[in-house]
Amino acid sequence: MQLISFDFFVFFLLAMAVLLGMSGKLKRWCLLGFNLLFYSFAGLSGLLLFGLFGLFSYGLGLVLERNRKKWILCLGLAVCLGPLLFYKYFDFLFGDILGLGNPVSVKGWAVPMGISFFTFQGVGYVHDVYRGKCKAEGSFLNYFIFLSFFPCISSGPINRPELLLPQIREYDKKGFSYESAVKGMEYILLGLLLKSVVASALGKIAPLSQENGFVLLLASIGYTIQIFCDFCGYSYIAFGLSKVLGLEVVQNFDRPYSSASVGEFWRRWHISLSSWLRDHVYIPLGGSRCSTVRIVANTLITFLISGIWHGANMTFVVWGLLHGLLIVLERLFGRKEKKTGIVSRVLGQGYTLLAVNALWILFAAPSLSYALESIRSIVCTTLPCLLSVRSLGSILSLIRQLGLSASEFIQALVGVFTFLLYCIFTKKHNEPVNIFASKRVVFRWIKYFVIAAVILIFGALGEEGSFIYANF
Amino acid sequence: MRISKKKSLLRFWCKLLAALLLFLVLSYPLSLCTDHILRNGYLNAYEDKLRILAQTEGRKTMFVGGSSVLFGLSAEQYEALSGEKTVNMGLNAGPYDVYLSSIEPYIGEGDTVILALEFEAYGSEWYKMDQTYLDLAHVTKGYAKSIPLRLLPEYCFKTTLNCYRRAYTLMYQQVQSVLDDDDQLYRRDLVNDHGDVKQDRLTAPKEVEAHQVSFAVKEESMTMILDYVARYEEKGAKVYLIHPPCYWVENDELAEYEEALKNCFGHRVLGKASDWLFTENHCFYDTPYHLKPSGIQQRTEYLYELISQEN
Repeated sequence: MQLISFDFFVFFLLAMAVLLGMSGKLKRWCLLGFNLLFYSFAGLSGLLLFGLFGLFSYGLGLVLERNRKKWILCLGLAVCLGPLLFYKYFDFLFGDILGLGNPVSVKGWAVPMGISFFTFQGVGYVHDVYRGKCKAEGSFLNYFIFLSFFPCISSGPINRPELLLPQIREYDKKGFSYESAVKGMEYILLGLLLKSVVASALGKIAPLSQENGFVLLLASIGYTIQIFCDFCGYSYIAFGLSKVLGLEVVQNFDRPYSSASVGEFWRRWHISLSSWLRDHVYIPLGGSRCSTVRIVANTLITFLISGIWHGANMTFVVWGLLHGLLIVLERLFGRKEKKTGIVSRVLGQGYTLLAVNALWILFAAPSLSYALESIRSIVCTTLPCLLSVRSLGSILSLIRQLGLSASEFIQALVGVFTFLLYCIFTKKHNEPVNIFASKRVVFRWIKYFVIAAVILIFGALGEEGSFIYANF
Repeated sequence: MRISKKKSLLRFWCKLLAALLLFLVLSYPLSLCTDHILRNGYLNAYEDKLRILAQTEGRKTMFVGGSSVLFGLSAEQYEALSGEKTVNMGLNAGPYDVYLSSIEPYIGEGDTVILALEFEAYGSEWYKMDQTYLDLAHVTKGYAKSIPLRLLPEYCFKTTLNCYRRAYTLMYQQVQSVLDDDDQLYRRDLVNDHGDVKQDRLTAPKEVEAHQVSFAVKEESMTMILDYVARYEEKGAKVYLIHPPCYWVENDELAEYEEALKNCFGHRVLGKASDWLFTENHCFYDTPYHLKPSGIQQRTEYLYELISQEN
């Protein structure tokens, strides 16, 4: 069930109707029921695997609390990561890396929904219990709600046990909060705007050939905006849904494209994954408190895992490693971020945008050779293409090469304009939904309806319901 | 404290429901204003054709049918030959009820209706599928009273809310994806002022192979078409039936099929099915039913010749 669908709309209305007015232990059971119902829409075999994973990681947490042995942790984590490695990387390992062909191909098998997300959340919990950062959850009910919370199960954010579990324990006693529910709705509206108006419109860009560098450059910029709005839109919706239901999950984005370095970008982009990798991979490897060579190796390993987590393809591997390499170079040769002036920051932002945009080409490309050819075309042919533009007709011809019809082009323009407005407005506010804040109720409602109208007119609500990160 | 929580919950629900309601009400004029600019799907293309038909004054000729009409006849060429206003209503082969009932209000004294029998489409059970009823209710509002009760919930989403195109997409995306899909061939921006396909906007032709045509004749569908024919003729229109173009394959059922058609529609059937078949694949655009411009020209001339003989 997609979050942007009529089915989910009905499902969520039902969940609100049941959970918002309820109190007592039944409330947690109902929440678990809704979580499992939501998951069951993606297939019962996936639900079975999810259940087994949940049981195992729950038991492992209890065992580790009593007996903090490293071998138990390693063995347990190997079992926890097994299904993820099998479903996502079996073909990649045997076919692409070892070149052995596929003895048993898993292509065509239904990958359980959100396997990357719930695996990382469960593994994070187990590791946190081992290192004493949180206590093992005694209640099976609480742990399963933590692992299966439906707004976050398909594409995150990857929740931390110390943040979510205490809220779940108190969920029965927690009453309805009007302010929280309204804020949640505002996040949902903002998420819908980013996803359906910006991401969906820009997602239709499909360059007709690889020969025109300027068209490819426009397409890559379009993708840079699209992937942000797609994932940030989803994260806002997930955050909003949770808030309406009375639970607070982590924010996944903090204006990443305004970062002045790639290192800063990763502290603002997909925050829950970045911090997960920092806490459960980078720091256990030794982090920054070791020799320079080790720091470089630790960074590259962490980003290699980040790349592979996104997909079993060499493009993701190289994408992750290049991000790691840039961060290493920044660490070795860069200046201290806090001491920079405004000019230096602007230059840093330009460099970061350029680097991130170029690396998104790798991320989006079907193969390394395709990505390299695209980058070569952008570097070599953009200027000649621009110089050849002499009439309105040639501009229109360039636009046509983006693979958009007239109406799609209008929608893409509206999408870019909406994104720019979003950037300008959110820059002024600590919290994105503060853009709705207004002293007069009428103005606030006008803002709601303007956004709703933009979604209604330009949004692709039924056509592009799926999110990019649901594939990872 | 408890009462205040209950009150705030009630306040939240009231505001949420009021907002949803208001949203639907406000979306109506917005979607009407923007629909023409932003939507480019099958139904929009068909609505455009109905609009062309509604704006055509005086005696007119209508080509009605599926893609064998869109990619098989030229209204512009026929108008030049006959001197009579001509509109091409063809789009992707769909339920005949939709085509026939939607043009009915525009039929007047002296009009000519050329109805192409899509071999497989009209012979099938399509005409009584749920989709047909829902399509009908979308294009011809008056048909709503005839839809079966079991389809009422679906109809409430689809027809009542069809003006809320965007909201309706959200509410009924499965239907939307079928009906309003931006198909590469059946889009609003590929249709000219006569309803013909804009040839210069099409992608390159494909290699076409001969196709085994099914000549099954369903009595119920023939009765349905005959019923419409009688109603059109009551209004003073002439109705002719033609066969679709097809990359010819020998078929033993053909003689029986032609006989059945003649028995049902009599002189209204123009020519033999074999007269409309093409034996060379270079005439075809992308399927054994879709012609290239040269094939369209040839077929339109043949149609004009047959109609002239009838008159």
